[in-house]
Amino acid sequence: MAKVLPEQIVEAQAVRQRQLRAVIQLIFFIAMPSAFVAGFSGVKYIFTQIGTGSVLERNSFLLVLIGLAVFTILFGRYFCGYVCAFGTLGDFVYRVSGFIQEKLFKNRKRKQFSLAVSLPESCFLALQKVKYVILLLIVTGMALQERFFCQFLCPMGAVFALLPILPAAVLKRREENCRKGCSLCRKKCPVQLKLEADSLLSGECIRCGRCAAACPGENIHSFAGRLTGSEVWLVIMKAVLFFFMGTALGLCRFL
Amino acid sequence: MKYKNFLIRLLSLAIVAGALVGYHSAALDRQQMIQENENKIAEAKAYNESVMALENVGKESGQENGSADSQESENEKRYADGTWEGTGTGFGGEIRAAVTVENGKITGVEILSADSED
Repeated sequence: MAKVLPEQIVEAQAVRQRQLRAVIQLIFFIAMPSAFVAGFSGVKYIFTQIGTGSVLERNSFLLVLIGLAVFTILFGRYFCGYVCAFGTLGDFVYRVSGFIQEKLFKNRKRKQFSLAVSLPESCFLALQKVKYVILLLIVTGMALQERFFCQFLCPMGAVFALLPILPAAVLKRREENCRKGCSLCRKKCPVQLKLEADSLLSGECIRCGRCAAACPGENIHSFAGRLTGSEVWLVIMKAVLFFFMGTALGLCRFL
Repeated sequence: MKYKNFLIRLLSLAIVAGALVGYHSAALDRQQMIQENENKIAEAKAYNESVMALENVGKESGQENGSADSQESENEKRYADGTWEGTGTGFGGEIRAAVTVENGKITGVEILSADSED
């Protein structure tokens, strides 16, 4: 008989998980906001060095890129879900925009915007300040679509999605135990995964842990079906590990 | 095959990493060869310059012999004023001589002893 948890417990679990993630995101946002930039600079360094035919020296950006890649291979895209400052910004912007929409439109459900990408004429005027325009566009995207940047634009995300993540760290759903028509995990997923075997192997999962926390049947696990990946001790352990690694790589603003 | 997805990704990563390492060693070799070339060029330049310097010196001393009034300062570089004794080997034994230098020019040579000579 499949285990089904009462709704209050699941709800409390989800809230706790969300709060823990928000706290960790905030800590990394303050202490290591440049991690994503450093990693991408590493990618850029490789390309420019090859472009000029130069040697690949031991650059700090390169080390950060390697560090992020190793961490992702071991634990999956935990970096995306908990550490990346851009991801944190996106989550924050999305929540604020949802809050504003609730107040404005007075309905419970936020509207689902379909993003049409078009370039208004005003862009040409603003060409001198292209970077601000791009940032504005990205933030707008992040307000309308959850993890918009991470899903469609992030170059580090592209790199991470291609890495061989250890099978032990990949999430799996015990589909046979699922209630018919439930799809709670799918609704909670910020990167719109279907949470089937294929999508969970696609490299898009950012290990936010919402699906596992929301599942009333505790059907989502990694690690040979034992850990959900959202356990408090596990989340904190990964955060501490990343903090040490990031500090060793010189990413921490205070140490 | 179990873990097919993981193994394919691992293989791709290995190929990319291998390509980068291969590139790195090739670039390193290229950099070394460029450095060696530059060293050789620098050596050749330095050698050339030293040869040119010697030639210039030779030219200068040749010019000096031709002119009657040589500057005193130049002469003083070559020969110091005073009387200098020296020994040499003749056919029969030791010869002792003294050279007098005035104003940088040799004004006299005196044989002090040449006993063993014919």
